[in-house]
Amino acid sequence: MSNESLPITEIQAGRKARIQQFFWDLWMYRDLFMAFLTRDIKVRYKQTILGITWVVIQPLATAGAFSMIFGGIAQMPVGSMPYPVFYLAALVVWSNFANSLSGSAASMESSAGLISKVYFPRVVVPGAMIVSTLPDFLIGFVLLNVVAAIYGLWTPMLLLCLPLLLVSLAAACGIGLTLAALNAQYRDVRYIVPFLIQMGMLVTPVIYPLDKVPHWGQLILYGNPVAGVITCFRWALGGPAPPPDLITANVCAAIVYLLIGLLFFRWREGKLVDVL
Amino acid sequence: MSWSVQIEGLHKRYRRGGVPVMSNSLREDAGRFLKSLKKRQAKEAADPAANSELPPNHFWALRDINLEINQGDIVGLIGFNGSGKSTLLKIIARITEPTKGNIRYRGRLGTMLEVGTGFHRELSGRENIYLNGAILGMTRRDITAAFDEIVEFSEVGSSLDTPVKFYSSGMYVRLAFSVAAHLRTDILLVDEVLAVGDQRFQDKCLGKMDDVAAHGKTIIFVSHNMASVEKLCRRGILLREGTITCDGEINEAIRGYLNIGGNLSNDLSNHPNREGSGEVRVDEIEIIDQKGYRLNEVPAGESVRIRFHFRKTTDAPIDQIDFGIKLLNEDRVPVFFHRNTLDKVDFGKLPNRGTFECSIDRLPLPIGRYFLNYHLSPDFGRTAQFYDKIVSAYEFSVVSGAFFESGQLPPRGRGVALLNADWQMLPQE
Repeated sequence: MSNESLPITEIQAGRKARIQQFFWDLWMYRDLFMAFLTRDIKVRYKQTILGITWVVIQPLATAGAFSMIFGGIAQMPVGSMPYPVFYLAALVVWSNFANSLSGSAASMESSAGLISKVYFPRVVVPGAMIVSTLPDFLIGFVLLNVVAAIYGLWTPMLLLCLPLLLVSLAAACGIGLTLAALNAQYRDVRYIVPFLIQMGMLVTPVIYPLDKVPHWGQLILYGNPVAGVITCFRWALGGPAPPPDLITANVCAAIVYLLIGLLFFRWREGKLVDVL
Repeated sequence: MSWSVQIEGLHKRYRRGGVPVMSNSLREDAGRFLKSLKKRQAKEAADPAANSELPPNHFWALRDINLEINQGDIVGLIGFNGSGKSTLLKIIARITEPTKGNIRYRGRLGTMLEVGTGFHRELSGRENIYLNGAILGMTRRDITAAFDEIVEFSEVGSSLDTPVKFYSSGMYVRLAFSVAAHLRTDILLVDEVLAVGDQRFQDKCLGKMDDVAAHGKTIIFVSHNMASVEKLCRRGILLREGTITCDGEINEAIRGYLNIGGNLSNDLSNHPNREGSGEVRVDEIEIIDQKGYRLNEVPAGESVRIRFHFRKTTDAPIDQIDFGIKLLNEDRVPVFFHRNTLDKVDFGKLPNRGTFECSIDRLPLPIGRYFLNYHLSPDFGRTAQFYDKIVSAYEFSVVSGAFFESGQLPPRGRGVALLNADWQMLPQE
């Protein structure tokens, strides 16, 4: 039984994998990816009394609170749309972005034990973490459909908007990968992330509608892919249409974030173990 | 036989004390990053040796490692803590990158650096088998195929669907080892994981490793347990301060390992506790094994000779020597006493220089530190006079060894000596 026919793996100091290698690795390690994914999903609501019900309670309660405070008390001018629909549409997207971002940013640190003991393409960990946020999102999305239907606002357009989530997910992935690699060395990231998410919500049209943002503010939102996705969701439910160049800019921004994240992560990947 | 792993000019550099403090370094790092982007490629392409200079606060964990391991080899990688053996294993396993050099290997490579890597407490035994298997590089198909065998080997049985956080620690490690033991890779890297479970399960694990090796797999095994290394491996590689100091037969490497123990001075010429009239003096004590290698750490069960090199300081003839040794363990409990006159051995007239040698067959001592006293008396010891005497003249360690067939030793609390005994069962007629 000779081993001469077996494939040869070569490790060379200082040699970096190509960027395509990332996706190839993800494919080669798809079983591991699936294993992490099922773990992340299964474990999320383990040892909670309400279990999966949390996925429903969280967006409903938040949308209710936002409606009462920003709608009822602050009288936010959101046009004709009822407050609960207005806020739920935004929160479903935003909380998915926030969860993917914080999960992936912490992923290297939280699997430090694993990373220092066994090899696999490191990108599998944040990758699985991001994908594992999807079931929660989908449940939230169904909820949004139901609430919209109750208010008589539901149109099939809402379903067509669903793939737009990929834009905000790509952005979360890019930023998350960058932060994950940084967090391995600088634990400051741990404190930056919650702050970043908090500030992020303020510079994203979650609480307020896009059309109330002054022109200079909209220029800032060109770089914020979540803004476009939320506005599209609201548009599908009878809100004002987003400017087309905002959507184009958002898609470009998301791709740029993703590429930066992948490149940065690849650059740091080999060093992660030594600094964790 | 074709090669399985090839290592050429491998170096690994680490920073002492890990990452520098954040305050002024993020800016520094960012600056260095921008500079390095420009310089790095040009510099490395021009002169690969430029990397070998050592910046302050860095050290070489590995230096110029060259190795070729053949298919089916079972290699024991030994060395003291910090000698670089775990680093070497991690580089081969692609967990960390080399600073310089390259590695090639053929086929799939699996690692067992820790038992239960990636186990999740909240998940059941069944779910953890799949998760852990995937982490170790098995496909879902592999795991499903080996599933029943894994469960049977682990003896977890009916608890398979209970979250592992409710497992006893024994069950936990048994399950974890079982998954790893069913890895079907061409090369297996194993680090100290055999020390899991109870005695019976440990034997089972060793047996499993033998079994794996018998199938033409290449195994690289890191351990501090010389008994299991000796049992399992044919080839030994000894690392010391990041370089290979011995590569050959496993026994040769183990000798080397035991030799580089402490740097105890065996020289007694200035010993403060010396007593006696001084006509004959012992200048040096050493313990050697059957092949004549000097040992600073003695494996339990090793046949050793304790040598006392003496020098006569008078021209007067000296005979009727009584030479005795007393051995105490680290609690200063005497373990045994022996002297030449017990066996009526007469050394006759002493030469000007010579050696008293005490041979001990299969040293019956448990692991620990020991102190050796000796005395050298005239008149076969009938008078209370000494030519020379030192209390705690020599100190040495007994390390794990193959006194017993199993290679195991009873825990320290179970007695001050090991006993050679035979067991049998006599059925009633």
